[in-house]
Amino acid sequence: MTLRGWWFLFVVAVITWAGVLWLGRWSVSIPLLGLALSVWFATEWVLFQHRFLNAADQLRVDRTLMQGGRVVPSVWVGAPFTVRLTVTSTGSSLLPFVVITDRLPADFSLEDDANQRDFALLPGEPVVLEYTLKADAPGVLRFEGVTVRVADLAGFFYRRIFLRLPESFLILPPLTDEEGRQRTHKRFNTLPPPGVHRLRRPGSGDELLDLREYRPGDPPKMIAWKPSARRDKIIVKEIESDVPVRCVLFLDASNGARVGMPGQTPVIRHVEIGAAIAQAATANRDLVGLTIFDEQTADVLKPARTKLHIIQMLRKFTHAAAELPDPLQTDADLLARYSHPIAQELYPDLLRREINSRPLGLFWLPIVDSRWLWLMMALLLSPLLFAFRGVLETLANIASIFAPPGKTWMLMAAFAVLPGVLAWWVWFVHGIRGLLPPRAGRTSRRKQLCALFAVLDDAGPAAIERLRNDDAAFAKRTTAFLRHHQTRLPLVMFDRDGAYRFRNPEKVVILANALTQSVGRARDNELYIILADLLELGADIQPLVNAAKVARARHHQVLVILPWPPDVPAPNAQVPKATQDDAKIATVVQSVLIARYHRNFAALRSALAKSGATVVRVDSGDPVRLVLERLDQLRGARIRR
Amino acid sequence: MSVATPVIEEPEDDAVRNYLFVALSALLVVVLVLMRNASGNLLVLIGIVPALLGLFLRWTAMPGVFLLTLTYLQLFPSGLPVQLDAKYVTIAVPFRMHDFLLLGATVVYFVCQFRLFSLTVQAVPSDRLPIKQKATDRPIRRNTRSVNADELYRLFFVVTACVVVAQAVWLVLTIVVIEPSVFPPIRFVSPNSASAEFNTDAGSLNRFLFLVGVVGSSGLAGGFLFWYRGLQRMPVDHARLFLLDTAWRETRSELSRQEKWRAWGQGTFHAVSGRNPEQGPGTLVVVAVFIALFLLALLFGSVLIYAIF
Repeated sequence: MTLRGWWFLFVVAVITWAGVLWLGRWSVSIPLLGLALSVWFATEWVLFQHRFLNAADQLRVDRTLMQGGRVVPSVWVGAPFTVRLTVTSTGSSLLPFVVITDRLPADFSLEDDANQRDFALLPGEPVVLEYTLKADAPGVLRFEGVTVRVADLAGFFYRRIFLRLPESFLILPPLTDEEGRQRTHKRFNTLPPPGVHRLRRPGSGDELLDLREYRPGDPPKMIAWKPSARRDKIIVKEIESDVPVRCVLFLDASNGARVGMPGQTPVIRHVEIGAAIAQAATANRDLVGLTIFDEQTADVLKPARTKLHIIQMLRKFTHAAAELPDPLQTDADLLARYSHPIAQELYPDLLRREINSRPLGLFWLPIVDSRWLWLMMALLLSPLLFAFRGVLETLANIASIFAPPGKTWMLMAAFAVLPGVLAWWVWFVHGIRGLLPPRAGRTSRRKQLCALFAVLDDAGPAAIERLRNDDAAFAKRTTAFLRHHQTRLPLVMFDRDGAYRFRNPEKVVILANALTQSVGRARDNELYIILADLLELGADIQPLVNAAKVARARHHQVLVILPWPPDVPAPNAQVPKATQDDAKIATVVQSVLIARYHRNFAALRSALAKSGATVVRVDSGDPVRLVLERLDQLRGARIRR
Repeated sequence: MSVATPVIEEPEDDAVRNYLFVALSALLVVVLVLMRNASGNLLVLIGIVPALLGLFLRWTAMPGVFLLTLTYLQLFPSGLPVQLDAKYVTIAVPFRMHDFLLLGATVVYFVCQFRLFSLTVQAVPSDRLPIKQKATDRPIRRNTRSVNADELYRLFFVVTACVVVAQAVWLVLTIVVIEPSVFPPIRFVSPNSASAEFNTDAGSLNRFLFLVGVVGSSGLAGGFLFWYRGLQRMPVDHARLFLLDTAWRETRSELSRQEKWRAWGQGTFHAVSGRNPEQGPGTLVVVAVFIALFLLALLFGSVLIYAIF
């Protein structure tokens, strides 16, 4: 019942009871008035309950995404799309007033509440809610469900339910037009056709590689007649081999690469660049492969140039961009405070007290779990000290000082009883604290979440108690819950020693192994593009340097594209240095961090340059254009292996 | 099939006007009945001022004020307080025409007023508490598009039924006598003999008890029916959580003990005990405070005993 309903009921009840009991003697209209309004109120209640039970939980919701006037299974970055929600009541009752709100995916917002609308829902008659969204970054569009508010027309009764309808749609990286990313100027006069480059090995290409003497089995059409006539022996032509140019992308999807502002994380920027490179290279008929690595594994997609391959790559890019960072948070209370509102919004029915109970005994703090137990025990056992003559005599002397003559025994009795009373007081004060804020709220939240997780995991009652007692397990499960529902947590970037918490040095080993394996699989000269956040790694970069050396030794090219924060100036730009007069600590910290960033970049570039790899920043020019030029160089180079 | 568009509609349209005119008409009827009771005294017009304020200024407290004013004008039809005892009702006859009109018009006004509030002020409560609401939070109002054309017709049917039921309940209240000392404890009397006992304290108490019984039993029966219906329609995940929670409550102490032993084994017992060393004073401070309290209690007890004896 709403506040309006309670107030109306109160006034009507007062008038009805007063009219029946007392005022009706003077005017019959008064109790009649109260009774008529009470009957109307009761009618509204019965109708509301009947309608809610017969229709509200029997709503069928269908969601479709439309782009360009047709239903699509995924959407593209930068292109507006329409979310179309069809709600149908399969119940038997009319719902005269229903407010339907489609919960927006994370990082989306609408200023005009277009995702909310009220309807009168008739049985079997669908209603449609449409609104338009636009995605700014690749990822996964996760819709959790629909909030349904049901109320009566007078606003006396109200229920809110959440129809869970989890659906995920991919937000694919922007689709590059095929002509837009192709080379626009010809840098080499002897460029072969797109998609191939010449390898100085005998093959079936077009360019002449060499002349040699005839060997039995050579096809007659390969005989070079003029040289044969000149030398008076049969000479055959050897033709160069035409091989495709191959490019392998290495994408860093580690935890550190996911850290950043929503839509501006390094992995998202890398995904955008990688998707553009892949599409442009495929448009040039070059083969593109992809390796997505993190701290633990590397996922390899072999080079190919089919449309299906490109779609598969875009999907992998999208999934990599959609992952939220693991906050590495272990504060169970903080996690509970973040996850409880989400649970209340998405699972309000599973947090109801009727089915997710919080018994009173749950809140009482048992003293046996505390060190206060020792104090309580000491107080309870302190009367045993009376067994010692010295203690007894001392207390008797004290009692004789304070107590009147003849009444000393009463003070001695008080000495014997008071510790016990104090012990029980300690027990009571310790236990009752659990029923007071903030502990009570904390306990309640945690129990509700634990029961919810147990149901979601299809676990038993022991799981509730495990999660309730084990902070580490609870933190892990809660983090998974929040990440599953795409909820961002505040990140602590540096530990107490000032070290960056998201370095992930393990990923370098994974990357180096993946690069070495790619070199082993390579058929000819290839371009390896590493899209990774390596700036904080320092000396841990050595395995990658070694792998790059191996690649260069095999005449491959290695290009490392590093993310660059938008608020950090370029290395060659003037950095305002903090002075001693500068009172703002933030400025000092910022300048120190920028200097550290520049230092790391210089060190990394120097280390990789020694191995022959090229290091570029994301914000320096057009990395995609640079990659295409490198591919052209590979195509134009006449390399002998 | 209707399609929602993200256009914020202004509520001033036909649906609002219809409800407004019906409410004003109902108030006119109320005024006429009140003037008839007051023999044409225009002072009763003050009684509908709160209702008009509610209708035009959308003051949400006004319906309650109007109901209280109406009650007052029933007690003192002229609007001036006079001696009540001199005006006892002599006969409790239900189904009188002016009661019909007054009740019908009043209920119609309330129905229209609250539906207007839903259309123009707020239809459902906000998700946030009033102190936590943001300036950007907009109240959810009922869209005038969702107002069915037959709402008004149904309103009149419902109101008529409510008035008839109220009169019938009142009739039953006046003819039923509760006598716990005899069997059966409830007996019916004729309306004439009921009118003779109408103004006695026993009659009032009789009506009151019977009404309490009727409301209580109806509420319990209705609540039970809806509760049982809700159980029948309980979703699977609700039922699973219900069983899980019951099992947890029954085995909580044993499971908790196991977890504490496990924590002892892993050396993480502080997590179980809920003691966070970074929050609150250290154990030494707490023990010192308790010892100080103990000594104070000792001293207080000694002084108390000394003062008594």
